[in-house]
Amino acid sequence: MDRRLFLVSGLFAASLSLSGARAAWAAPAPAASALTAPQMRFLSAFCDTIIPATDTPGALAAGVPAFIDRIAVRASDEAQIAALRTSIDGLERVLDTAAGRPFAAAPAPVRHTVLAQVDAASMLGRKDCRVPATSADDADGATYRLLKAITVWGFYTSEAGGSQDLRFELVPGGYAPDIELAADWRNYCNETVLGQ
Amino acid sequence: MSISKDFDAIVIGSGITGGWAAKELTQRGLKVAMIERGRVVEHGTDYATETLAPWEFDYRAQRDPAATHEGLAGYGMSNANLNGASSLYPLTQAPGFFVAPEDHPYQTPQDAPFNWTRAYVMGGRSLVWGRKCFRMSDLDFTANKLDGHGTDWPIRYADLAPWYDHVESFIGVSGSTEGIAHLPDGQFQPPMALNHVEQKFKEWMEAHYPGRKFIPSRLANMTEAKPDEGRSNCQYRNLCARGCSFGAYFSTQSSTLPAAQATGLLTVLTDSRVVSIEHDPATRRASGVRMRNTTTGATTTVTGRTIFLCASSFNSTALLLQSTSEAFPTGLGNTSDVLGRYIMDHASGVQVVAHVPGYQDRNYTGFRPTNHFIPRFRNVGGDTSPAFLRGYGIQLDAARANWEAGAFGAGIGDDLKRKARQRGDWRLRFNLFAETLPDAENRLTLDPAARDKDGIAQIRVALRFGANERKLLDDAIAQSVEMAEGFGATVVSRPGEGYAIKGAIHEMGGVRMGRDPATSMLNGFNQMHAVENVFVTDGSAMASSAWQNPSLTYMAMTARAAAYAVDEIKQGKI
Ligand SMILES: Cc1cc2nc3c(=O)[nH]c(=O)nc-3n(C[C@H](O)[C@H](O)[C@H](O)COP(=O)(O)OP(=O)(O)OC[C@H]3O[C@@H](n4cnc5c(N)ncnc54)[C@H](O)[C@@H]3O)c2cc1C
Ligand code: SF4
Repeated sequence: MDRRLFLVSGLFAASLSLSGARAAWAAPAPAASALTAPQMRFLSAFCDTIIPATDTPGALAAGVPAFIDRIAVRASDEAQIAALRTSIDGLERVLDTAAGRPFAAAPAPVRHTVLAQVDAASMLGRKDCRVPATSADDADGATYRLLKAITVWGFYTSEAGGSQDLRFELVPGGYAPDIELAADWRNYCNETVLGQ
Repeated sequence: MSISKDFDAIVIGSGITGGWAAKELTQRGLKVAMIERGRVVEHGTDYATETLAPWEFDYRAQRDPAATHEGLAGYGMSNANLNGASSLYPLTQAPGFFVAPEDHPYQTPQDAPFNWTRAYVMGGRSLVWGRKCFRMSDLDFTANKLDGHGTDWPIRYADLAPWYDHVESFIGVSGSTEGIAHLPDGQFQPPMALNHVEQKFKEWMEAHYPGRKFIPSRLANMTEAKPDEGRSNCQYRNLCARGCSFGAYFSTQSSTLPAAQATGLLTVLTDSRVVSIEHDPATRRASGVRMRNTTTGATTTVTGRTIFLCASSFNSTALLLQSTSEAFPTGLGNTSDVLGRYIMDHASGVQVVAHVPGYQDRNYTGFRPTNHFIPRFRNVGGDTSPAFLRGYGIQLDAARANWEAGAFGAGIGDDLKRKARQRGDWRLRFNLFAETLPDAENRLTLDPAARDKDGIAQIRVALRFGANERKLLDDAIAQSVEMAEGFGATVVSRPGEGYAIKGAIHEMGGVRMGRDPATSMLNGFNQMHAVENVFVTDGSAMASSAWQNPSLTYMAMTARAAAYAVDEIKQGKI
């Protein structure tokens, strides 16, 4: 069957209408925040520096700090939250010192310079910030990579990151196995690389 | 209490084989009850996550972090979970298809962990499977006889060939005609294409290794629609394990269930777990099944003239072990102590990944829901590898890294955003699947102590991969590395020393078929030697694992057994 025809046929429409029913399973609001208000301010500055608004929205417009907080609450018990707070305070001290003032209050270019240095140091020899830390890793570097990973993930799986910066395509409709790479190519947020 | 006496056949399970049994038996005029322990899943309307974008999931298409409670660092962050096939936990708070292991516990010995991936819903694992469909050949059906491991298969390729045709035509299999004797061609729709680097690799490999081929996968994802059945061709979404309203891949829901329902002869009973098959000593036949309503706990008996056991290999084996009677104190039909023995899975869980330099201007679009295949090349077609018996297959693809490679690497700000948008480098990924020799000590039993929430004995799975399996995988790894490097790629990950061998979700055996009732449970028509109106047609019947994904063979055996059973019924023999 022709794809367009199929899309308007009842079967697919029925499944699309499901999105209305989704509200019923929405997660309950988190009981509490994992982070303190000053830590949330720090995290906002951090996320904004990792993924700033450019020609496309950045991490703040995508609500990434609140997303991180929500996942942290859901994933953690009290001891894990306390440990996360301590780790974030540690990283914040490093960044405050490097910026010569509270990192969260520094102008964007200063934040960028400071964080770029931390990034270079803690990503040295690593291809992926998601690789779990080991006991041999330095604690601030590990905290940095964890926060960077969840910031990146939170952004590119958000609607702003996934559909305005990257592209989202639910129904490609076909497979073009061998084409020239277009100069203006943008990755798809929902491309799964099998077996990755 | 008995709800009906007049079913001609009872089918236990509604997965890949149960759906086929229901279709074939009803289309041949039998009145059938199909009994499924899981909930109803309606085609389309119950594919709750099918159309969701990452941001529409509660946890961005990762499992609920509260399920593991490992802190922020334990939250998954990978597009690999988008498809749903790699996560045992629902990706949203909508109910998922997979069983959470804590809901349905089972036992394993400490030294032999076994990951048993199940779907207890209407449709079973037909909703979530990988859809690879490969025929077995006489290389496989004669292997036990020739090397003495396991019992001789009571069937040969010629017995199954017409049934493979029948199944492939109906479910819709895409693939290419290759003329490989040990991977027989079938009734194929056009194959899913190889991309540029896969094509280059194919040309290079086939020139350098005579006798080896790299071919398109054979896949129950259709490249041509079946409008009469309301099934569309594949839209290259690669979200199959969330369910597919296009009906573009084979599942019970998309294919066999509507066919069975169209006969008007099918009764489907869901939320009903069969807890035993009842044996009548007077007739020496099975008289029906006892089932437990999984919500209310109420027990009912359903009677039927013949029984098709299709509950998946380990569940079917366990159900027979549970079905004890005076005539069969160790399990229905177990006159030979074979029941539960010779369980197998493919030796797998290992991958070789290699970075391919260059080809930066080549691209592809669409999310192809499969990799491709290097069929077995060991101990076949002139190759003799005396270090080990039998062989392995390699599922391989080449893909460019998606946004994750750029985004999670070094860099921040503008630089990070730019890298995330760009196509990453090419990689070859070799996934290895080796044959496992049948071994009586690989055994499924009922745990003497542990019970599940229905009060039924938990299954105990003791499956150890042996020396031959390790040699096969060692060779598969070495060959993958050699081929990758020969092609000019650099290996970036491979299994380390003493790597763990895992199963491939192809668990099978336990109720093997054979020629001799003294050493097997079933005859060549999947009919129980000792109880003639019971047919066991899922993977538990397998006498050897072969090296291919097995479900196509289960379907062909099921269809063949159904035709045979109906003939026997018509002749008044059962
Ligand atoms: C992620 C994944 C990928 C896979 N990829 C492939 C592949 O590419 N190719 C391939 O060949 N195979 C593949 N498999 C394996 C394939 O799914 C199974 O071989 C196949 O589903 C077996 O069919 P079945 O009918 O025996 O069991 P299932 O499909 O598992 O169905 C069994 C049904 O019986 C029900 N049931 C169980 N016990 C009872 C009971 N006591 N009473 C009532 N109902 C019961 C279950 O709830 C279930 O619905 C894959 C599996 C998974 C999970
Ligand atoms: S990839 Fe094809 S079969 Fe899979 S969900 Fe999409 S349309 Fe359906």
